[in-house]
Amino acid sequence: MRSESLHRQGGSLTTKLLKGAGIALLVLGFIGALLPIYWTLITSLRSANEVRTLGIEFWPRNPTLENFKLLFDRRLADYTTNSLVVAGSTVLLGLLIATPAGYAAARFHFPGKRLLLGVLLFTVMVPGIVIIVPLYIQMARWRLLDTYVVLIVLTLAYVTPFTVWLMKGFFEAIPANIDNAALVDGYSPLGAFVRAVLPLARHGMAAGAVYIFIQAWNSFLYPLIFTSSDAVKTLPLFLYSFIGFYDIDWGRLTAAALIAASPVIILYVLLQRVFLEGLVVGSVKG
Amino acid sequence: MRREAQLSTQTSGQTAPQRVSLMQRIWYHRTAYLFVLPAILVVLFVRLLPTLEAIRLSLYDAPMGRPARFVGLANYQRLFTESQFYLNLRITAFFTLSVVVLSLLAGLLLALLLRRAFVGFDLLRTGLFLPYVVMPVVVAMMWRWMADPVRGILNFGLNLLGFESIAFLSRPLPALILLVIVATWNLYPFPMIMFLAGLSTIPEHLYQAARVDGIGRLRQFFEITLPLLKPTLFITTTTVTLFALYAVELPLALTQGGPASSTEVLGIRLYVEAFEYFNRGFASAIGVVILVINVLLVLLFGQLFTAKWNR
Repeated sequence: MRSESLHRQGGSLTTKLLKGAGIALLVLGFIGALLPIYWTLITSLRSANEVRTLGIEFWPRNPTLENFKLLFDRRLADYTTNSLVVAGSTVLLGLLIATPAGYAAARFHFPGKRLLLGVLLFTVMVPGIVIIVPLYIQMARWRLLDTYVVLIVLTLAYVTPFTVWLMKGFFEAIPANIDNAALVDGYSPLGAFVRAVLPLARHGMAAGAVYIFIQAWNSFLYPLIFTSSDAVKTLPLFLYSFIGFYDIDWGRLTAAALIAASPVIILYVLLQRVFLEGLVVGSVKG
Repeated sequence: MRREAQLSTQTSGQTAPQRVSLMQRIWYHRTAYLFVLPAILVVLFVRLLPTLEAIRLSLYDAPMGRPARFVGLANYQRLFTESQFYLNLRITAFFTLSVVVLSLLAGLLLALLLRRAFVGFDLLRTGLFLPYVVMPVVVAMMWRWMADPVRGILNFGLNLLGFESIAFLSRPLPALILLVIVATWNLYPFPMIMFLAGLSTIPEHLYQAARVDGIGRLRQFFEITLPLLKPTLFITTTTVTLFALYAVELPLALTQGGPASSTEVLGIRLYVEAFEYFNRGFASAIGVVILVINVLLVLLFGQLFTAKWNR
């Protein structure tokens, strides 16, 4: 961004053309990124009859909230609650687990540290689908199938390694003098962590929370395999239940898709600076 | 100085007394172990041990409701002698390679362009990154609707360009291509944001110097930008490759492996074997194959990127 002055120097026609082409490409990418979302939005605002009979329309002629009204029933409320409970619990537990671990990884030296971090890194390389069968057998044995607990525990294990790395990165950016000063003041290592360092790590914790929330909220495979009743199923399954009908009511389905996707989209738009930073920090270390 | 000494006695092993028992050493570092314990326990019981269990299970015939029976390498033998597996493998390779190449190229190009954007940087970045946070099931729904043979916008576009409509989801090759496009749409923001971060660490004075020396934009890219992006390139390539290889949710919600197994990547095959045919041992063997491919690829990338550039 700082190179503006340099650009001005080369004012030849080719440079201008290239620059124009670059901007055109960027705008094209922007449209490509948002078109599916926009298309979903305007479909959801058209009546079922219009969606079925009228052709392509880039602007809803008679926008209506009919599709959304039809969706709001007991089942959607249940699924939304379930999604919120699972994602919320996973965020809380995930931060509770990953924050101290990230701090220990950033600050402490202890025997076995390399091994432990290596194990965390290795599990990132194990795709969830690979362990799905042993997990299913184990959870069935523990009688945890079709409970909130199974969804929370599985997602927690999935997000933990990345979140630890993310927190480690954020803690490393905090000067060690902060800890030292607290230790000199007579705090134990635990006290120094809680009283002196943690308040400075709010940024990192917010990034971790957004990351975990998105993973938990969007998770589809785990609920699909591990839950069976409406009392536990989450929003992705609400959408999935529409698939397979011969004549899909696209107006209603797109409305449901927006309801399911919007909390994460809103969260991202509001906290994107923090979230993107966390994504980069966690990935670079991992 | 005193402060640093204080920290190191509290937290580092260097000042721990020599010749002490293991228990004493663990006690000495109790805070550190306490801090990592919950994370390690969760990962141990819900990721690592199940991985070992998957390897063990792949040596068993383990149907539902009956006790598992040790069969040695029979599952692998069956897997390596059936043609379906090689079809799955080819589809997985095509899918992964296409998605990795396309999303890295798109990500790099957009990051380069975005870095030069002076107007609307925040808006452009927000919009361009958005596809990454949309849940896979919703992504699948959006594109299924867009790919509708009669009322979909994709065919509207094709017709506009003078092509005939395509029934994307009921023909093998178009279904696979659609899957690649959708997965790329969903994933490219990750490399884009990584490259954007990587680019911002390259000092501007390098480009200034190059300009003074009369080095053109293209050479600047190959001689400054690309070499300095190597670490980012390694992490991003590895991560996106693993993402693509893991991909189960998106294909499951978009095509369910069909039509006629044309989009049945290894992950979908595993899912079908495990939860539709209940061949758990056989499914685990597929899982071990996926795991081995993963580990080999990570090692390969590590070799490729470090051997060539860092040493």
